[in-house]
Amino acid sequence: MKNSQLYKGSLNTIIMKLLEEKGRMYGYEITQKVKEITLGELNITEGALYPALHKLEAEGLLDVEVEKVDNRMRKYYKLTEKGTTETVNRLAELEEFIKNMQNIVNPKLSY
Amino acid sequence: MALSKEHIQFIDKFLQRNDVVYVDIRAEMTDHIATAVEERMKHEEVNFYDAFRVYVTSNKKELFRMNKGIWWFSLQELKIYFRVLIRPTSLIINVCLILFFILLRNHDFYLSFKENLPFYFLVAFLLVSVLNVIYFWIIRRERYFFIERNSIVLMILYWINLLLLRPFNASSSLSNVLIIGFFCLCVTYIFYTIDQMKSFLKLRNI
Repeated sequence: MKNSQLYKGSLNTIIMKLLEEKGRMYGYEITQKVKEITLGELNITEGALYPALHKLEAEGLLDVEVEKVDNRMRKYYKLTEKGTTETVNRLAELEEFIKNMQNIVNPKLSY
Repeated sequence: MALSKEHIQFIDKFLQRNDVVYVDIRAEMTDHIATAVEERMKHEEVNFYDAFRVYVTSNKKELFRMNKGIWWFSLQELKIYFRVLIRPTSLIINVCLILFFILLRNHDFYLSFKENLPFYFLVAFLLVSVLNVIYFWIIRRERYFFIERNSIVLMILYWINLLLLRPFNASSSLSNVLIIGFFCLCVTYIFYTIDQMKSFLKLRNI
């Protein structure tokens, strides 16, 4: 992932935000969607994405659905009720973080 | 262009040869690789083997990170178990059990139960472990990370049984607290296992 230290802490929130918008997604689709939105700037690697998805699932924030697609099984992830509430909280937290960073990095723009 | 059954098997065999032993982890990796290979075949107009070779060469390190460090998820299992423990139904049942044992504390039934619980647990522990090995390792010849990661909860109960229940004097009040507490943890383990089996059945097609 590009600038991993900066993006790492927001990976779970990025995943949850995408799932909130799209309803349900599979792993590869998430990586491609992020790449598309950021015009290729942010590349979520397999090694970062799947552990994050499994952790969110274990925390009860994501639920899974398995479907057979083109001769193979595909695991779709979607937000649970708890996950939907948590997404709102995490997005608010992230927005606050961005605002504070903006104040520190470029105070003139924040007014 | 969708990959054929043979292509999917080729990817699966490749992952098996690279020590991705768990069926559920391998299925998710197979789908990821297959989708990436299909995209490459479509956009670069190359055949399956070329697309696969290029993808694996450039992503191998990241790809196999998915299979490493998964022991950490065993620790997540403890959180899931704890969530079952504090669920209202589990709390109500456990409080009822505690009251039941308090009322019967001088009864022969309780004294015999208290004496034999560590043994009953050991028998149940061995039974669950042996059945797991027979079903998954011998009959199905498949290992599931989803199933194996659950064993950490059973192992912790085993060590509590071995280290905490035996050394205390059977007549002490601490031993009563430990025995009843341990029994409640075992009952919660049954609820936890039912939950996990439901989730596993949802995923078994993997």
